[in-house]
Amino acid sequence: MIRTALLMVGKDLRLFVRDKVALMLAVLLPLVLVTVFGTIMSGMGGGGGGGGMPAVDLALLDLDDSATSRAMVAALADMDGIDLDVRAPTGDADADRAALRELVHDGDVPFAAVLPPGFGEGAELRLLRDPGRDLSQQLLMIGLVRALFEVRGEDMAWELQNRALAEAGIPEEWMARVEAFTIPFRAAMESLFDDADAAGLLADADADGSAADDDEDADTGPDFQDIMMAVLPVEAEDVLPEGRQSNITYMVSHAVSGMTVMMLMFSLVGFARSLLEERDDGTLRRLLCAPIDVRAILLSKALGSWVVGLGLTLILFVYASMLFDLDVASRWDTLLVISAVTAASTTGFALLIAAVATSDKQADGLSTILILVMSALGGAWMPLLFMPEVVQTAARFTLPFWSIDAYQSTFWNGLHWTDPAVLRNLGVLLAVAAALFVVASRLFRRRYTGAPAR
Amino acid sequence: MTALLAVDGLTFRYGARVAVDAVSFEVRRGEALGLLGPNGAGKTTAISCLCGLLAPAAGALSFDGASFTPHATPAHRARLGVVPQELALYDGLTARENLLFFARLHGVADAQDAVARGLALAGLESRADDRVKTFSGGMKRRLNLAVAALGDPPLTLLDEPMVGVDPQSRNHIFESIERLRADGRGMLYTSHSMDEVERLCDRVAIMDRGTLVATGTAAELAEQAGLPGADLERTFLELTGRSLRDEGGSA
Repeated sequence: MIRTALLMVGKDLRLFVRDKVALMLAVLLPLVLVTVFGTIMSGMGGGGGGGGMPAVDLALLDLDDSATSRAMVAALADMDGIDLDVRAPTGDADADRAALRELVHDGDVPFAAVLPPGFGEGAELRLLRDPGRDLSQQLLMIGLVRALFEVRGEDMAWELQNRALAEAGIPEEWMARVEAFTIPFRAAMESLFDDADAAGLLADADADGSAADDDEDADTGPDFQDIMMAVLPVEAEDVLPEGRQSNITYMVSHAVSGMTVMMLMFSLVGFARSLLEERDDGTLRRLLCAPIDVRAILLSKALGSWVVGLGLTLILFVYASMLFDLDVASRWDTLLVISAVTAASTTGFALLIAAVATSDKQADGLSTILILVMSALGGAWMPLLFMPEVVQTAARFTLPFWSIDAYQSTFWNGLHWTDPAVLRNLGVLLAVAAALFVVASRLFRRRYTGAPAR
Repeated sequence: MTALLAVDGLTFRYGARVAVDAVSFEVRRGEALGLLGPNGAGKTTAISCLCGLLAPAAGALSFDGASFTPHATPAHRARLGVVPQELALYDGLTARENLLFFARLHGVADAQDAVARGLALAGLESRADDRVKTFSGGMKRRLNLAVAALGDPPLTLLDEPMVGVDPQSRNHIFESIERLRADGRGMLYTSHSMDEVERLCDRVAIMDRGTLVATGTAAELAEQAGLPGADLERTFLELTGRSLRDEGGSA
């Protein structure tokens, strides 16, 4: 039976490769999707990959035109997360403010900022915002705070202190008492920094950073997150699993895994549908009349589908390694094992579709619905951590979940395929593959040979 | 002539419906038996039982005097060549690749030799390495027959093998079938074309509504129908009636 199945696998693969359009779609479409989703995801979740936060549109009017306000404009313009549109003052401040308000009102921009006259001396920045854009506002606030720290430096810290005291209920007239003991302290601190700077100690502190940090600081100033982490009573420790590249974000590796698994399902259902084509063309009847074990027919489809699936998966990962610098080479054995098992489970799914469907259209409709639903639920489009708990639970009943989780275990957590966590996923996938193949085989025999579906 | 294939009381049911009801006939060595019947008569179901696609509900089949169970015994199917009504070929493969694939599938000892003979039988030597999708309907029909002849099976089942072919290809297929018969192979031939059956078949079996209505030579059938000397079409209509058969179905 194996010899017969291999003979038919050879025929199927030859036909698959000869249909250039289908072959191109099978290979090209996943590559395009991996590229698009990977690029989109690289802009989410921070880290490398040229990402950071998505840009928020901000219109800005500088009515102060002081050195501080110009520095503020420059700082905001440098922010990756802010797409700044600087409006030139016309000389009529009221009209300029009204025009800015209209921009927000009309939905041309979600946010607008006015640097009022006296901004350099401490006047407050006025923010016009479109309510309901919570996420964008949070991103904008991060940028604004960073810019304010950059242009106002240590003044910002004292200002924050006074504002915090006011928020706590300290009357404004009592601020004189606060200043009575903070001003000498501030003067002493400034003197301390001047002495440290003169002694070259501050430069030594900078030198502790890496060359990359120095380059980054030269462009964008002190890292806000680093400053906050340094002054907060929190000790942070970066825990980078062995083997994970620091320049790869969770979203990129997830996008590559998710799109690979989803496209694999589409491709393999397409391959398994050749069973329906053979039935319509009459070649299946001829195969069934041949002196062979009919189980070899389905086995050949399974083997062919598995080979194609494994090949496509490996092509995608090699491509992703070139495009996103994903580390494939150092974990090739784990990727090979996960891909082999994923291709097997997906093959079982594809064969079941081919065995259940009675026409091409049925197979198309059924597979499209199931693949899209399983992909969405299973986290192929978006990591499950962004989804409600009920979806995270439902995900466990889908094939993509177990495959993507296995891939992420190696890409993100650096686990080897022999790790129990990965083995659990592989076990589930293999069990599902076996169950699907048995069901598909029985349905096939009942449908095409009149055998009871035992 | 001795019976190559003997069918005795063949019965098949689709659920409660009896598609083939206790049909008995035989195909002798070197003989071509025409199996005729209106749509829904049970011809295709009967042939499906003979080539192993369906398991009969009742009846006995024998081949060369021995029990014949193609549905249960894959090796028994090697005794049959099947020409399905559809063009059961892989369009993406060349004529040679199609023949080679099926020759190997049938376990033909010298597959390359069988392929060469198949190409000659189909008259496709000059197009051997062209893909089937570039062939005309007639070329595909010729190749369809050549595939069935791979491995020199003693009996060939032909299910309307000449649908939609041009006169030249039709003639080539006729000659090919006659050549195979001359080699002593048996043929079971179904068609709606009375001309084809009259030209090719020694005897004719007529089925209607799942049962065998009559068997014999064309002249004997005309006698049975009370139309001595009538052509096969008149005889067929007399024996099966002139009412339309629009029931369709797989039988």
